[in-house]
Amino acid sequence: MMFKKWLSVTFTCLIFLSSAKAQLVIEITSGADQLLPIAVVPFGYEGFEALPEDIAQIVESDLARSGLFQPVPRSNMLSMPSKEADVFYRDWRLLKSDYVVIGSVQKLPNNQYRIGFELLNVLSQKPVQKHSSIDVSSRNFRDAAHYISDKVYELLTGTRGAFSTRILYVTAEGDKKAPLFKLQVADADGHRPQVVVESKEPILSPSWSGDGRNIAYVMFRNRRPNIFIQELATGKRQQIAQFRGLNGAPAWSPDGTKLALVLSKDNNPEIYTLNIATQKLERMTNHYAIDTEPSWEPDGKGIVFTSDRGGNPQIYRLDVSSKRVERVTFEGDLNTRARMTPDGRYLVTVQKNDGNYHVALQDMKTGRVQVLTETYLDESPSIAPNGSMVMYATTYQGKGILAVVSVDGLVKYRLPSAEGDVREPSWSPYFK
Amino acid sequence: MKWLRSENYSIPILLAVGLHLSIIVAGVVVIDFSDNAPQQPKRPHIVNATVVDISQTIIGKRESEEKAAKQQQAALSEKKRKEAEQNQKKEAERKALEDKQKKVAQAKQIKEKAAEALQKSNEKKRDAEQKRIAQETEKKRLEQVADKKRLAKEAEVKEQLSKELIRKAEAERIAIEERKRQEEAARLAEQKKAEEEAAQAAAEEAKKRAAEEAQMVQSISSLINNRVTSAWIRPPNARNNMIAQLRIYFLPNGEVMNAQVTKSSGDALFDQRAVDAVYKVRRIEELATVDSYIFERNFRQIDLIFNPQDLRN
Repeated sequence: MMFKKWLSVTFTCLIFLSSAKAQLVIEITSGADQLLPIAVVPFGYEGFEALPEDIAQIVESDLARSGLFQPVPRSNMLSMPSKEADVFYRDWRLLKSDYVVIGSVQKLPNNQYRIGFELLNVLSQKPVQKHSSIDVSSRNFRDAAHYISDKVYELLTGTRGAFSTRILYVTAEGDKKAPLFKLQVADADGHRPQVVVESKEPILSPSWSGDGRNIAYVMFRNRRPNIFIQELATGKRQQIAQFRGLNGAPAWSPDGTKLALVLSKDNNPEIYTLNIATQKLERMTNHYAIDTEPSWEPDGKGIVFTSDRGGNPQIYRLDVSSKRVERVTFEGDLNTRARMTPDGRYLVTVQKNDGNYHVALQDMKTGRVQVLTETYLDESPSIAPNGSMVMYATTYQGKGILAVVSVDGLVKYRLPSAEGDVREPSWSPYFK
Repeated sequence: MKWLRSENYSIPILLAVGLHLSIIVAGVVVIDFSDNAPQQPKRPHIVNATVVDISQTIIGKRESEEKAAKQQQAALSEKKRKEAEQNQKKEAERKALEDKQKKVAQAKQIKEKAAEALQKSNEKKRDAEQKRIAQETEKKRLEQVADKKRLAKEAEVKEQLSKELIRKAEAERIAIEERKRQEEAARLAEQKKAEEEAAQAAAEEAKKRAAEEAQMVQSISSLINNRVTSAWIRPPNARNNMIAQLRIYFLPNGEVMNAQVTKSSGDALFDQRAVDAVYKVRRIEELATVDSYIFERNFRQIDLIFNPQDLRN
């Protein structure tokens, strides 16, 4: 009896033990594609002079514009701490803010400021980025803000931020019949535009060198297109190759040694490469059809370009060493202005479907094509160096503007409107 | 030494047997059964009368009385004979020697007879005595035999009685044992039945509980799944089949006590967002209502596998 009892007890224990070992496992296979809630608290400042910029506001805008974050409005904030010791995580939980950016501005001598910031995880109540700081002049407050945005973005998305990059674009102001063309450079958010060059004749196809120091562009002179290379920092300009006929669409090779360009010196637009140092020109295509708009692949081994050799304009790929050409795009009535994402995975084109021109994304691995935009007369797509965004020119209320769409097509925004029509955007690489 | 015990009759029997044997032996030794006594010639009673000894016994007395009468007769006949003798003097003289001789022989015979008689009487006495003793011994023996028989019988009866008693006792004992055994068996059967019933009831209860538990676990699990799913904000670099496994520790009130990455996806951010999702859920209120046994068994710690299937590759 006793034995029996003990046996049953032991057995029960065994059952309990064995079942205790059986761990309950729940598998989560989908997520809410929500934006990540983040609070960017106004940076603390103990000074009397007004600060040139609201850094927190810039960071908040950057993050919001990326399409991945949902900033918590300042008006909802229960407190505005500027150091971790003052943070009550519970408050931020109540606001459903998963992360918090806090910071402070400290005035240094000689118009310098020390800007410190921290990124905190409200859910695990731990800093993601411990306090770090940068020193800037009052002129560079926006740079500091974009730098912080980049840091936060990278920490929370795993991808390098592109807020500190810049864009080139061409504006046409004034009289429609005799406009003033300006090549401008601005922050990626459209702020702080500066004119690089202006002309009464058209300026086309601005392009960045791989290190972001130099640009190349086409500027008409006496109704003839000329290709220029210019050092941005100094404004030093150099005209290259002047050939009969069309001189257009310069594109820097990733290593910065060559330019791909379109010349029609042999009666028909063909793709050439020019070694900048040696000025050696090499013809890359040889076809009676029009070959134009060359763009380098990220590894420099190939050049994608537009050709109507198949009857209507489509994208082809040229192997640089063998000069072999193969067709890449097959969908849509036509595809032009190809650009490849930095990871080489996607090809962005302007695609014409049913008379409308839209930015399309083609998966180079699967061949699947997705139209990203719904705007009108989209053109000149240019990809951010982190591959997350595509900037392009479009027409809005009868006016040429710049717009941005994320490569997944989910995030879209327009850049603040500059004067006149805006065309030909070109997104810079990371600055080395 | 069983036979030494008082209730046993071995010793008295032994003694009695010994006594009898000694008496018989003594008798055999003392009494001469030989029949060589000389044949007594028929003599006139006179001779007889003079030498008869009177014994003390009744028989002896009677004999001596008879002998006395005979002796008187013998005296009378003697007188007659003496008268005849006077008459026949010559003859008598001639016959005197003869007579004398005869007389001596007769005396001798008488003497012998007397001795014989004495012997006879003694013998008779002894015989009587012997007879008496024999009778007594016989009687005694009979008594003893009877006694023995009685005792035997008694013993037998007793034995039978005791045997009966023993038998009865044994039977009773067996009966009791049987009853006991049956009772025990019945009790065991009852107990077994009760146990079986209890076991069955327990099994049914357990089954019911298991079903309830399974249902509870199922519903809470899907609850957890839903809450975590809606709290999970995946980083843009997340891809299908990036798998992170977390171990979640719940408090009985349903609060997440701790969440640990037990198997990394290889991407720190992916792992972090999974942990964030759990902490974002913060509490499964329904867990507070769960039976503590079920809670301990199933929800004290759980594993969550984050394995997105709805992203692009």
